[in-house]
Amino acid sequence: MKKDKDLDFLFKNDLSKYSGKWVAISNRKIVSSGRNIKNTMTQARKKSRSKETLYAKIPAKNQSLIL
Amino acid sequence: MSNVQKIEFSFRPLTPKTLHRPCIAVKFRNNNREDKLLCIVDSGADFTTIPIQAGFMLGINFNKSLAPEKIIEEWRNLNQSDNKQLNDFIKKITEKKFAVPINIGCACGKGTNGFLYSVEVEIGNHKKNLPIFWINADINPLLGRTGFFDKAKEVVFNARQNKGHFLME
Repeated sequence: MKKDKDLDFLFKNDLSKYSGKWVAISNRKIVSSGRNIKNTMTQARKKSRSKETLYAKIPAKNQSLIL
Repeated sequence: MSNVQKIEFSFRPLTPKTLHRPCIAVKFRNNNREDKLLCIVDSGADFTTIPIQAGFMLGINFNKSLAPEKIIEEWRNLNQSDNKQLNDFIKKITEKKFAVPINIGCACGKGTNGFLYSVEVEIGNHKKNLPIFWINADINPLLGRTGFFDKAKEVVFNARQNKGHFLME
């Protein structure tokens, strides 16, 4: 399976300051972040034309998930 | 030669001091638009579940694609334990590009509205049409069972080694 450089960036960096927010990662950089996915995507599309932008929701501090 | 594809995922804490969770990047495609979202691999989720706002950003117009009343009624009366019935229904709404309004219960006991609507997904090198529950809530995206886990030859969660995989045919 091809290695995903933005996924690698997400896993290897401490993104605590984005806790509870969405982030958009393109070419190993955070290109936007926000409280909801729509704004995060809108900002990211303005800044990067890459179709490979990765969007992730960073868990809030001390939050466990019951799915 | 074997046509089986191995799709690997890993358990990661996305920030220090949070639990390791099984995560995988999934591309969602609609017409010429695509977005890649980090999903939690969730064997407890009936459907892959994505915030509806992400669907709007992919250009999906759920109201315009709304299924006719008889299809919605068919969903209400569907015996979901009958795999053939469920698969035939999913196939139909995927081919016709129908959005079916549904309500899904969360583990917390609340029900949330949204639409069942299929789009193409790409996970690793594996592409397929997948029914997605586009939920009216800003949740962590979930890769759920219907259409994916149930099509895998093997699904492994190895929490001791913080990794897992799907074998897809």
